[in-house]
Amino acid sequence: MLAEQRALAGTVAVDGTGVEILLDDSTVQQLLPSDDPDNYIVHEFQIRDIVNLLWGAGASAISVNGERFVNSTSVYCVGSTILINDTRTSPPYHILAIGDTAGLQRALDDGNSLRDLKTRSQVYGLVLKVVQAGPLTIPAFDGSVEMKHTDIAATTGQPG
Amino acid sequence: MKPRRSQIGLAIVCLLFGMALMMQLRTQNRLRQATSGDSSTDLASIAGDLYDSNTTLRQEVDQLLGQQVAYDRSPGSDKQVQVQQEVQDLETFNGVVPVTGPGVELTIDAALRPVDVQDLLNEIRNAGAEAISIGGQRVVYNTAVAGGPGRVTVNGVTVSMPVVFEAIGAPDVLDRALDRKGGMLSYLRTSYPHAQVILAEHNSLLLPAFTSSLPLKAAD
Repeated sequence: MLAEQRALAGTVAVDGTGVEILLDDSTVQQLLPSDDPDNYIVHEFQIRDIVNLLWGAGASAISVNGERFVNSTSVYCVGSTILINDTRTSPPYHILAIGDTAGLQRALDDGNSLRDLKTRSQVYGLVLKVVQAGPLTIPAFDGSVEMKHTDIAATTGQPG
Repeated sequence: MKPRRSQIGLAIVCLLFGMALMMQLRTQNRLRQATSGDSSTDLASIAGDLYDSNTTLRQEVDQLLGQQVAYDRSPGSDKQVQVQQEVQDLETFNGVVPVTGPGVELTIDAALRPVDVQDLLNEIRNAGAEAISIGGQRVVYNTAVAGGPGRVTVNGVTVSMPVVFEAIGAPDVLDRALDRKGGMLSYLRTSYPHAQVILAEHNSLLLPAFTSSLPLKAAD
């Protein structure tokens, strides 16, 4: 019971097979004055898009640069760094997902997925690739799961 | 997650029993070797050594068992209650039980795209919400947002219009965080000029539990 809830919460590390995705700023060194540097760097919404896609494709655990994605995780841009679980991160981004490797790979390859990101990868040299498929260890969430405002509802009188 | 003291005690006891077992296996091995040729004086000294180390290990085991009993009896280690509390906290966090609490309700009448809903969810999580539902779907760790404009799915279920977000947490914090200038709501009001956006604080919200089974790889 406790072990199951801890596993769901992500407060324990988990081993499994899956994919490791590398997301990094463009390898292009010299930008033209007309170039918008924004197109050449990793943005927080791209991490959100990849993670959302992986959950949809059946991933059971995800971490980005060592930060486990749990039910409270947000990905936010703060200046030149990206805040994940209250930890500042910067590129390169190693996105680890445990799940059906072939299914995750298929979802990533799907022509309809991550279109904006794939375009930026092709046009501006943003790095987006699966660098590994196989056994992975995804670390535990080390933040708080404490509830200050939320109580379990009495189950009596529940509709449905 | 800190292991409980009794778990540490138990782990040490297990370790020692393991060591004792190894000692015994070694003893048997050495005795087997010894009986196949060595003189009886060698045998006697081997047996003597083993007897000594065995005694030391027994003493350590006794000592640790004593410590474990002391831990178990120490005040504040009402383990049953502690475990129960942790399970309830985690169930709440995980979204597998219905919950109540104060918070905000955000209603948006617009043909939102999946990415809008995804970004709003991110914003609500970032504002410190403790429990969230979208269109009656409880948000869990692996909730995916998909679909298309005006037909967004959450947890694989199509969300009806208008899209209603409910979030439990400090109402004033959630309210202010979501409604700041340049925030997600002002962006949506600009992107969807005809959208009706209503953000309201509530003293008590009731959020449903996540219903289908979560895909879960057993943790080690």
